[in-house]
Amino acid sequence: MKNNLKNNTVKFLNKNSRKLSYSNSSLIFLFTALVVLIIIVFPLVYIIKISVIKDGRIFFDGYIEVFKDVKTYRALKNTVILVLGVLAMSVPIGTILAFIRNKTDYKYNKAIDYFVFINFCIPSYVLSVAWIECISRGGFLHRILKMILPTIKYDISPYSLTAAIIVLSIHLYPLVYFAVGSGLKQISDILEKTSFLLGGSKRKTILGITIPLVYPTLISIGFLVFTRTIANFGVVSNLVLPIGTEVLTTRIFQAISELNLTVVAVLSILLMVISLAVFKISKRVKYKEIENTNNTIYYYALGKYRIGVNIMLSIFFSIALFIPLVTLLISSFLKRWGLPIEMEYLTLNNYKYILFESEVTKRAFANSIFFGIFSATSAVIITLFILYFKKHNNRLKDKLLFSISNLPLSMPNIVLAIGATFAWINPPFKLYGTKWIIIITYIALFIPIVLKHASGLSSNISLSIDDSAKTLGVPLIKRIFVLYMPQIFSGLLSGWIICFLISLREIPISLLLYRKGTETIGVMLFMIQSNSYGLETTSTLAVIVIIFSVIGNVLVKKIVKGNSVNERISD
Amino acid sequence: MKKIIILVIAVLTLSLVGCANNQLESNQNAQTDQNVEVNQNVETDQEDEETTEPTDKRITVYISGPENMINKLEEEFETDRGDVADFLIMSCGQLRSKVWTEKEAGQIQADVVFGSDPLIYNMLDDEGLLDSIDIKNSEMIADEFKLENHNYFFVNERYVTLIYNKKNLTGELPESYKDLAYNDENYSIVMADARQSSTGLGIAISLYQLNDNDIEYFNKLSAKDFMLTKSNGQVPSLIMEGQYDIGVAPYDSLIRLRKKAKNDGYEMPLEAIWPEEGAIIIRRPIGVIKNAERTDEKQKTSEELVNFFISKKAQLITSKFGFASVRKDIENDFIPKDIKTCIIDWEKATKDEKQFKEQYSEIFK
Repeated sequence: MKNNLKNNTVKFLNKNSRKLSYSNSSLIFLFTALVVLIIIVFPLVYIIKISVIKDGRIFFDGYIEVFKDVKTYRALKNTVILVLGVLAMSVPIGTILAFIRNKTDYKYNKAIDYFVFINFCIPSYVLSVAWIECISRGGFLHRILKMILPTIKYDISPYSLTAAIIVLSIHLYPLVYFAVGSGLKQISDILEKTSFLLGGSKRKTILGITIPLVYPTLISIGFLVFTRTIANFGVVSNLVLPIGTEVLTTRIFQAISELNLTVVAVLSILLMVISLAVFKISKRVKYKEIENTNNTIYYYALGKYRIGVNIMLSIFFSIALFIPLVTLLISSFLKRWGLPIEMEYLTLNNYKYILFESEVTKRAFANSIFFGIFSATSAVIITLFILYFKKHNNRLKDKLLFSISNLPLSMPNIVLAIGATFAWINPPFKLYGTKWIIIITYIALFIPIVLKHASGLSSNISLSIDDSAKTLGVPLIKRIFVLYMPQIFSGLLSGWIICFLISLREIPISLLLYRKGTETIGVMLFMIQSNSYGLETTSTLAVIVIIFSVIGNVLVKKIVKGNSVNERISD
Repeated sequence: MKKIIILVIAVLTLSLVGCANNQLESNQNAQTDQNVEVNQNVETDQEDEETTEPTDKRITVYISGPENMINKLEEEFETDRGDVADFLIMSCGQLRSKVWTEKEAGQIQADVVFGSDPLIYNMLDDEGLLDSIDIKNSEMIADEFKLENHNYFFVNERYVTLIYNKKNLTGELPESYKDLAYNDENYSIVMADARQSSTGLGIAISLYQLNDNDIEYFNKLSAKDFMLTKSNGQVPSLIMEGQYDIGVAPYDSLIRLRKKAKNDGYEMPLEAIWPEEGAIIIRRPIGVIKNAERTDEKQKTSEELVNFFISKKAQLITSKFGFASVRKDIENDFIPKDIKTCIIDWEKATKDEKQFKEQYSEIFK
């Protein structure tokens, strides 16, 4: 009797708690789905609509125009060259550095971490500015050469597709470094020791065992490098567009300038389809991940190669980091870029202007910080729900929501901005001209980034914890925030940091959507030179942005010490 | 627990929908409150909180030009009126594409558009998107700047010259636009990209017209060490910095750079050559965008702004920054008396624009 009563009570409680949990679950799912639909699908639908509907009629003239136009194929060809070039440079650089750092007995491995991290904090557009300041005819390289050889005829142009490949590779290799580094740590020493026991040489073991084991990471990070390259606007607009060469993003930008919005929409879809296709292909590649269960890593002895490695790293970091930084720093103190570096031409006025006098710049910093914090936090919350439903329910609708949320990864920022313009300019969601249009577009951009950072961790979590909590009647929200979130916290946090960093350097979205009062750092970087200020002002702003990014990152990492965020920052 | 749900949903809803409603609400409130006298202090507080949101009293102005000049103009215009206008400064190319994108999306968000060149204004006017407004004291505007059959007005005039770096260019100097492309000197040349810069497009079309609509001129240019910039402002900067020897750009930017160099205490290596064909004249228009939903108050402010830009007070400000005035009572001392000028046939340029751009894009690919 007593047992019966107890059983009935438990049944009743379970039934009711499930009911409560079910209704909460539906409500939260509905809300998450609605948010995703509004901020991601709605603008996308508009882009498709513009590409096929004109004056209320369906037409495919835009597609015909784009595919008949030789400029499209030229831009496509240049885009392919750019992407292949960047992959061919950044992947080996990042992999070699990660190998030296994580798999050898290199003494200054912490220094590599710091240098790569600082490199990672430099916005790509800033790197392209530093490149111009170094390589152009009025640049520092020419000045130095002229001191050595006064009669030298200098005709190196800083503007070319090759220049963009070099600059983008320097910008993107840290992504490869972080990801491959993390992958190398997962390799147990058993495999390598077995290879040696079987008579394998160091070279054979590295090429036959160690490197192949990070192929999955290389494929995954290769796709990320691909999407970041194909979506890049700042570098190509600074280094490629001036000589009239076009890639797809600049072709879209040109089509906007040519006032041909149908072409803009068609090109945006083309760019998206390419990214999506590569994403699908990269997903189809089958591989088996290996987990380092005994937590032991084999370190290769550098031996006689130590000096060579030191020289190689010194040269590399000089080119990739110190020369750009020193160039920017010197330029930032010049009264006008191009003047000789003499005391009479040095000034602090550029800093005074940007930090204290220019209201727009101050506002841009405040906006970027606010937009970054708000958008990154919102993206993390939405991602948390998406991942929870995918992990714990895994219904068709959960998988669909997950897939849709990943879509912006294949949408370059300029496409997101165009979609947002059309989606948010008319009622009922008239956000155009307000800060919210930038924030919402940032959230759409950030969701797949956070997803990418946290989904791996989520897949390793056991379902039993949530099931037990559910049995005990723990409400859904508590299960999500108290049980589930801490388990993927480091992923969410690293995603948050990346998103925040992006908001400090993002150009295309802000450039197309800003208005007075909503300027961002990206807008200022891009525009300040247009407003008759020379490269010295851009350099000053760049130096401040770099310092700001580094300090911000260090602070966040200090706050969350122990959460292995460093390792995940670019997985 | 429900509190947490409500909090999370509230935060996200605020970011997505609330803000949209905010805007709609503010518009609706403003419409209904037109006759309500608002306490000045309260209004100021609200504006402080919402500095980035447009209020119904403020007009939006899309404007291109030097930042300092625009700030000065805004300050002067608002001296007696208060904060009634939001000036969004952009490059002329951006202004052009922003206006067109918004038009295609449903409604141009600006009340007044100033800067760029007549091409975009002709296109807007042809589509009936510019308001016809009354210009006070129109008798003070020189006849050559008066437009018939158009709903936009000229505010300034600028002169396109050859600008060169005297430290780098020591040999024989070009005397005309033609020399730049056809002589044997191996200059490195820079110009604004006609696809990115609206004034750049005006200059390129003028050069095209000056060369009897022969695109070969640009072929010759492209064969040299030639570079395109995204804006005209960058052209003299790049020449001054030593990156390029010579370029085609408006003379007013040179005046501003000279002033800056004088203030900062360094030598300015730039000089201008007034071309034999005549300095190309680019006129900067202003227009009020047609919008049936605009409140009377905003319409009044928009018309006042146009009149202000043509007033002597504003014209004296703009002429300090190198822009020649359209008024009879302000002397034009930017261009030497004996210098020839040439005016673009904007009507023809508007018609030829598409074809020209296609040919131009084929060359600079």
